[in-house]
Amino acid sequence: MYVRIESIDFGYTKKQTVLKDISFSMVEGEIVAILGSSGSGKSTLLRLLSGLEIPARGKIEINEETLCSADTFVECEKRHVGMVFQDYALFPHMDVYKNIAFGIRKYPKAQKRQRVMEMLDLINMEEKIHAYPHELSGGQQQRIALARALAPSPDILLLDEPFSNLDADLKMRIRHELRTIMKKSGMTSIFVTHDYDDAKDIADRIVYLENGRIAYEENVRHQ
Amino acid sequence: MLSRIKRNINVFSVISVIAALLIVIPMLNILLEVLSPPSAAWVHIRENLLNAYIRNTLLLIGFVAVFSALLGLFSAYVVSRFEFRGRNLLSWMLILPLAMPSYIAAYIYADMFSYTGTIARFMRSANIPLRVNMMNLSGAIFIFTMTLFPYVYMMSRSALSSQSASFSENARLLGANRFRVLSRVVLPLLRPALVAGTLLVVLETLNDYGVVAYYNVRVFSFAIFNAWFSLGDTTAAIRLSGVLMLIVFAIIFIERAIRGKRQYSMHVKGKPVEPKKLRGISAFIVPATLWLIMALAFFIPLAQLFYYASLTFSDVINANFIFLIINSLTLAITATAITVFVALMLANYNRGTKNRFKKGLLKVTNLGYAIPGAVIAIAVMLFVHGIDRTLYPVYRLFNPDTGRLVISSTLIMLTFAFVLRFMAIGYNSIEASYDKVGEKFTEASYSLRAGKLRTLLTVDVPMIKHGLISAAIIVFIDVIKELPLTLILRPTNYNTLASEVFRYAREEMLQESAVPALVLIGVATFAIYYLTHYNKKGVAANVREN
Amino acid sequence: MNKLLLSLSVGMIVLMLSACTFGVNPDGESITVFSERHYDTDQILFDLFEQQTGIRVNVIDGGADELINRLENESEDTSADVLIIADAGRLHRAKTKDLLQPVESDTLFENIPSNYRDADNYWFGLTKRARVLVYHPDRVDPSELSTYEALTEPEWEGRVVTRTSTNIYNQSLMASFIEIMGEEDARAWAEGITANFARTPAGNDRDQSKFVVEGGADVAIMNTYYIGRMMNSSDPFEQEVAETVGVFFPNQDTTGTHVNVSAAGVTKHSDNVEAAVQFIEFLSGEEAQESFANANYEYPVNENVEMHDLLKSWGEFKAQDINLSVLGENSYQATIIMDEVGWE
Repeated sequence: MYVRIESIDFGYTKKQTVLKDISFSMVEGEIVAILGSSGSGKSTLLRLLSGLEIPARGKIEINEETLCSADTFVECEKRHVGMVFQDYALFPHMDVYKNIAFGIRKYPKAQKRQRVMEMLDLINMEEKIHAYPHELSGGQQQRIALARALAPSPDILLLDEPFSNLDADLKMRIRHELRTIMKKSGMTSIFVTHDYDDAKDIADRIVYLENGRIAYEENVRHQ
Repeated sequence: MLSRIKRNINVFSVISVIAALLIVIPMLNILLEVLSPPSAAWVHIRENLLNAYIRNTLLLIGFVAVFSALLGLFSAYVVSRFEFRGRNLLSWMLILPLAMPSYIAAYIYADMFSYTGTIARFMRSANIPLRVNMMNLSGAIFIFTMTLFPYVYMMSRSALSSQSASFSENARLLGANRFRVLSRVVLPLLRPALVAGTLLVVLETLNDYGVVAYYNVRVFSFAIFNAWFSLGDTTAAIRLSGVLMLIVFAIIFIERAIRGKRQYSMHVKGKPVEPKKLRGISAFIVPATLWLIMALAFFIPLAQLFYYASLTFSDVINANFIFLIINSLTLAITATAITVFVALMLANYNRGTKNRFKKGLLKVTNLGYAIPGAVIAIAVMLFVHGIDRTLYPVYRLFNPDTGRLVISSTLIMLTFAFVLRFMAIGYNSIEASYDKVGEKFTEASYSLRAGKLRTLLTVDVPMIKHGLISAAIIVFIDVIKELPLTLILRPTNYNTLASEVFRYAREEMLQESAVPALVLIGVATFAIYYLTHYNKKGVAANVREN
Repeated sequence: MNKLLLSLSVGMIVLMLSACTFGVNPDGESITVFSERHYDTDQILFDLFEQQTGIRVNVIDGGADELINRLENESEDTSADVLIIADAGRLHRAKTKDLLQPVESDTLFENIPSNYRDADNYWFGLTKRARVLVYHPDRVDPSELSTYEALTEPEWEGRVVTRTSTNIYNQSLMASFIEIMGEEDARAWAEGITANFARTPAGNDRDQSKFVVEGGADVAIMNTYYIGRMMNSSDPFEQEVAETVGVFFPNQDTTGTHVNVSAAGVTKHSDNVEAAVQFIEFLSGEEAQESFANANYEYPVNENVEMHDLLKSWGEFKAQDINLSVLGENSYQATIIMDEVGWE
């Protein structure tokens, strides 16, 4: 298995439980949607995977590397995890180029530029290379955030409510576009949503989260 | 568990904990002193003077708080909600009175109303039989209000300009008239800013020594110095500061209790309120009132200083004068840089934490601002002397003939005291910026595999640059004006503009103090100009997207 | 960001450099003087002293309380050899805090009358000042004035003005009364004078004389040298005030006018006692006294030295016949009494 999550428990304080006994696994290239109502703990699950929170118990393994267990914890910045935030969190003081290049600063200059261009090509936004985030529409910002997360070739891509900030019209169009981009990049991805249609249109499999526990799973497409 | 601890140890936590300890230990020394048995002087103070100290202190801070809140609020409201000639100019000039140290204003005003003073002479020549005695409680209230109200003005103005129009529009749609909108919606929403500004004014008032000593207004800082010097009783001085700290904490606590659960800040997107053009008589009266405030708080004392400077500059300006300026600037810049740096580390360490230990640590490091300068001076001096005596064997390794007081005889002691005292100002400004920006950018940076330091330098700092700069400038102005710490802790013969102004004033040579006073005000004015004009270069535009 | 880093590092470097420059001792013998005085003419004296003895004088100036406090905190590590401050009360404080040491010097004993030096030789007066009555000649005839005590009479109600009770000059005045009249009468005096105040005390000595000229009060209790300094003020209007008022030396037929000194002592932890004593001897000598006293319009303590013309114009006067050490001894009690009678 490419991604293996075993018996994760988590709470922000000692008494409270946000997630309880979460276990699931994924194969490489799979797109999984975590579906649940607000407060079900689905965003917290992403934060655990990315290393922004530490589980109270359990084990996380991605691409044969143990990121988290009883005796290990790999910090967020050391994990090969890409993340697209709910409101994208594009750095407002950097232009598109710098935003995308942020995660690949160790690349030699020419290679860095090439990688950024590849990403821009993938999302079809080459002409916006020197634009600043506030000059872009919501959909454009989302695509840049996606490109930024993909640029360092992470082992896994996490998306937190990728459509919550888009209007209905745009959402329809982008849903398909997003799946195309994700499939094209071959990226193993998890995304969180509260909208069944989003989940159904994009994901290969849907994991239902209720009150911090996995209620059931549903295969949407067969690999 | 191990992983949790490991995750918590990094460069920020180490710097923060060290800084916090350095700040807390001297304070603990003081607290321990309070536990020692009461001295005869303390009994005397408690029986004959304490009631008057408490009454005067409460009267002073009460009136100063009310008047400066009114003045600050009025000017902020007018400047941000109305359009009139000179509005842009006034909008930054109203901060200028902060460049006028209270003690200078106090000396100048008392002088102008004294027999030989400009105003008194004018009154006599115009046959106006009005004699004003500045040197009493009302005079002190006037001085503090005029020199400190800009704190309220600054805070209220920025709160007003970020207050979304949708609140007041909504209220009007719900049938509220203009007055109701102001009293029920606009003002309550301003409350945190108003309280924060007024609290700053109160704390500055409590810390002052120059004004109350000259005007003989018997309040706590006066009492502390008096117990220390007149009665020669350090323990009594420390006990008095203990009582003063209790008063401060009571004020803060009561405010919190009244505020209760209500929320005053909610992120509501929307356009800001458009300023309305003033018409008719108010187009004349309103700006005239603001200019009158400016004249009283800044231009009139300034003009008097210029006159005195013209009488004395040839005696005062000599080769040493340039060193005064260099000393003041060096000291202020160094202290500011360190304060802002440590504040940044603390704020970074503490962001979004729910950890009680961390929060407690921060509360303590921010206490410095509520403690009068004189007490901080005692605390720091005892502490640094202690360090020096401990390190003496180490000093000997380098220089066998060394004296024992190595650190104590350098600027490090004074700089340290400044950091301790002004940490809260730096920290709060940075924390406010962090609050505004939120944590998602930092998290995004981590998720892109940027380490803690790189994230701080390339993401956090640029995003809160504005907060850092305003923190730096406010701390800078405070340091350059500061008196008690400078007087007590400066290295031998290290004179600054402020200490020189005070020396002349103490020797009753007010005219001679004008030149250093003017230079000091000039430097502070420049800093304020930079603070208010830097703003407009588009940092705000960049961060607007949040 | 770069700017921030830059200013940070510049600041640090400057701090380091300034830290290094302190504590460097120049070659040759030198003494360090903690002094409250700050007059240009003093430097000329110090240079003269160096010429004669080869001992350099480093002066550290500051307020008296500040300097005492500093000495106390530095204790045995202090660099100070000599402390020069005004008011016997303060010197006594330094003595009781164990900051000074006794000095046996025939030169000093000879130059300085015994009542102007400490009974145990811990400090030595260098210049004298009198605390006198300053009146407005239009409203007060000098014949109406007689003693400090007379000012407590009902006819002076609302006509007297002086500084606060926290001011050391008034504390010392009160201390001298405790010595001369006894505690009970001194308390009665403090009560009586407080009842006759024209205003709640505030401001400095110059402010008191201005208040008299202004018409707010008729008599001010203040130190002589302020009149001299106002006469030479850079502000022409202050000169006018000083020329308007009259100066009256009270208690000439009784106990004498209150006199105080500014004085010097050798610090307890001085590492160059000999040079320190030499320095104080030099300041008490005929050569230095005139300039040292004239700088602040004070009376030289050495009786062989001529006083300033201004002081001469006021004539000779009778001073309180007490050893000034008692000012310090009674100063705490004086402060308490003034607080108790409500002298603010």
